[in-house]
Amino acid sequence: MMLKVKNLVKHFPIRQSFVKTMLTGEKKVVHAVNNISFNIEERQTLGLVGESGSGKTTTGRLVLRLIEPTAGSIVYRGMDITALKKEPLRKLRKEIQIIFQDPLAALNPYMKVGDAVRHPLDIHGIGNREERHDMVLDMLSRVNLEPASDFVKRYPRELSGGQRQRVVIARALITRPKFVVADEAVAMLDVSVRSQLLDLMLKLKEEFNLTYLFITHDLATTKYICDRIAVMYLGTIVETGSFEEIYKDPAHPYTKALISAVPEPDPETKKKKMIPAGEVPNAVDLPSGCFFHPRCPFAMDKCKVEEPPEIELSETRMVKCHLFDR
Amino acid sequence: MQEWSLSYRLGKGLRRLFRDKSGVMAFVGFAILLTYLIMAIFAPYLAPYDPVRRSGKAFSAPSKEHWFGTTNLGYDVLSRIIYGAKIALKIAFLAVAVAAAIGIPLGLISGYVGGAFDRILSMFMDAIYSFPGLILAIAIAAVLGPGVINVALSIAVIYAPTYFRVIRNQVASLKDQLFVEAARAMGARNFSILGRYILPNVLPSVIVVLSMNLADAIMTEAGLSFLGLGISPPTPDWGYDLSNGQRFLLLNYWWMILFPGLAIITIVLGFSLFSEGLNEFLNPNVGETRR
Repeated sequence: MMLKVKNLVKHFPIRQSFVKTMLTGEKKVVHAVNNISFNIEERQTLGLVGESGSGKTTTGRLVLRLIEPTAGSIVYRGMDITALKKEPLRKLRKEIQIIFQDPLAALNPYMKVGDAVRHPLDIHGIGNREERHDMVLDMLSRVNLEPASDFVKRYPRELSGGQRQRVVIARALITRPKFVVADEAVAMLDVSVRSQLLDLMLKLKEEFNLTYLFITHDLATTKYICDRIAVMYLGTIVETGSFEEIYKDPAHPYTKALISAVPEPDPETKKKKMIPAGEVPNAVDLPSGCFFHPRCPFAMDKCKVEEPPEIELSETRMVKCHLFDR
Repeated sequence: MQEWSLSYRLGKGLRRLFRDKSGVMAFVGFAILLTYLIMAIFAPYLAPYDPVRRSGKAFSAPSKEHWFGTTNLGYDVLSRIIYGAKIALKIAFLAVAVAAAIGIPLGLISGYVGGAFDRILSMFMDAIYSFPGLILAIAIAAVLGPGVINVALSIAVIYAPTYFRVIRNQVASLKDQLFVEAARAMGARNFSILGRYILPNVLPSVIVVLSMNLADAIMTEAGLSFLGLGISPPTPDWGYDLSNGQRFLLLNYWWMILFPGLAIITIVLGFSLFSEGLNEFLNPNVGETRR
């Protein structure tokens, strides 16, 4: 087991005046992640799908402990990351890496590509000067930035969006990590470049035996890269399963809605669109019971009061919905 | 490979420099500064007379022998101005270097660490900042006494908060940038995050503040010397010469006050033009919003 996340919770406190806190006696928080659990097997890719504001990016940062969880445990290869002290965690970072959504913002504008990609090696003291240089060149050619010796001298602003993301990937993978969080890694790129980068990420996964947590709002991209998918809504995982299972036979009403929103290439096939009514409720004052009930077409009385349990439909499938209560 | 050659980049830089008025401004400022710098460095070769020895009749008007006239003690005004550039620049550079050496590291740490440490340090710096600069310098200079180092120190105290504020505010916003989070995700130590990710991003604005402060420092130094708190006479100093000259203004010895005054004005103008131009040169965004 590569990663085992259990009952993970993250609340962000809202800044409010001291007087208000004194008067009302309560502190308001954003419930970004509400009690989620999932596992990722070695060399598998888990897709984390959800709308913006569903807490998927927060989850990605939590599992790398870039932000501190409010509660819950994250066990990486039998080691509880949440309990690690500062220095061991810093050393562990060469094994667990992240690829960010916006490559331009993720690169220091004053750092040449070569220096940016080499820096993780400097940090973790891997190799000597020449070895590092060779490793950088090797990594850059692996992400198809050729000629690598030319790219090392360039600044991020001199690259295209796709090239920048290749640099970010090269930087993330240069220390040969085992687990990589890809946070909307291809969302900001053109569609044509997007598929190239997905191919690259798949290729690198094979080369380096990577395990991905692939975070995306776009269900279609998960098809190419993910072994399993977890659908998030308002900080909870409402359904997990393989791509085939979820795409062909979505169980949770929210997943159904998501899938009906995926554009169909053939205009002749009419799909029944089932876009849920209303907006995503804000994560400060969460709905009672099932978080989806205000928008759910199948909502029952029970949904308003009782939080649905996690129901296992099969060995690989889980759904969090009262419709499947036995 | 051609686009990486030095001459190509130099040509591109120059073309960018003269693209609009600001580039010309920077160039004029730079030319003025260069003149004064040469004057300061080669003062012994350039000055026609020894600045602290009688070289002619007292109070002689500008003439062929004394282009800018002589003072009440018969010193050559031109020579004093040339040597004065040396003192002025020495103090200004020293003061700004000390101010930067205090303000930049404190600003970096304060902005990066945040919290109570940041608040207390900011409050302290703001307290210094809220004093009128010259008054504070006078107070410190009065305590320390005259001398190049002491004057430089008292000026440095006034300008350290400027660096602190500029750096602190930038660092506070930079530390939330994605590339800083990326560095943390790589496992970088705070020291290397500050040195390799944050510092390079604040450096351009530091350089601009630096050249602006140099102008201010020269004025403050002249002010201190004018009030008798700066360099002890008869060392050539523009501020002292101004105060000395104004005593004889009613006797129509205008050259004793005009030329040191012009020297101060032009060097400050030079620094201002240069820093203004540099600002637009280093931050291309500023130029675009103005046009």
